[in-house]
Amino acid sequence: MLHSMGEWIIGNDQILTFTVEISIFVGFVIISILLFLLHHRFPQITRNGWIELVIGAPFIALKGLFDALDTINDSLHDIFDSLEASFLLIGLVLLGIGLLRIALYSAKVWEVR
Amino acid sequence: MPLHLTAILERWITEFNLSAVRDIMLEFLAVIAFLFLLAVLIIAMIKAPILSKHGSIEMIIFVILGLIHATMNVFDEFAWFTQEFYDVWKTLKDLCLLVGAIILVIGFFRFFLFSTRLFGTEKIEESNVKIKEEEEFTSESDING
Repeated sequence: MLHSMGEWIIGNDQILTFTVEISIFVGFVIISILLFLLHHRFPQITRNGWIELVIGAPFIALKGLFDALDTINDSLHDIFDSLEASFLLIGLVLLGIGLLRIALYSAKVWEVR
Repeated sequence: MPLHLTAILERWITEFNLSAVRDIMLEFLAVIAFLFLLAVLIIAMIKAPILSKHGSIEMIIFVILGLIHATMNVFDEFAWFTQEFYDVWKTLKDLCLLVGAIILVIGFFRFFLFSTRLFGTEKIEESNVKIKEEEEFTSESDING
């Protein structure tokens, strides 16, 4: 199946770019894990907005993954490029809505305390 | 074109197929989304000033670096760079987002530590929040008559 998807080659001059892009993927995976830990520890303060953050962060991680894939596959470059842009956009919107909801709710909780 | 530009820029792209137009639209919307995120963070910091010392600064730095990344993404849809320069450009562009992601992780850690100090393992009384919400609702009803 991989043969029908073009050649997967990392040129010497692309190793750094590929590494940076995969690191973006790993970075946002770590953020997703931190969000789970945060929710586990503080279920109340993360009650509002957490779900948007926890969906949004893996979406941005996938942006990094597709960015890396479009570096190493020329024939599928356009598809990966569009997927990358779409996932980044959806992830950012979710991140924005989540942060806004969590901040408004946290402000209310801290005021109570 | 000035000589120093020809070393990095082969030509400006003036014709776009449907796929390129779609990509430009998506990438431009990502710029708008980062601006939306910046506005959200500023609102959050105004609503909860305590946040500004515990993670919001890192989130703002992430958004600014993300904005630079997204703007570079849109720009290179219009500029056809030489291959050598494009490799450098792409790495720089991605480094912006990577540094932003690392700073965001630090921001989440700080927020995590701050929340631990503030709340410990204690649970927030749901009833207190509900009472507060009811008080606000009652005061708003009073104002509205």
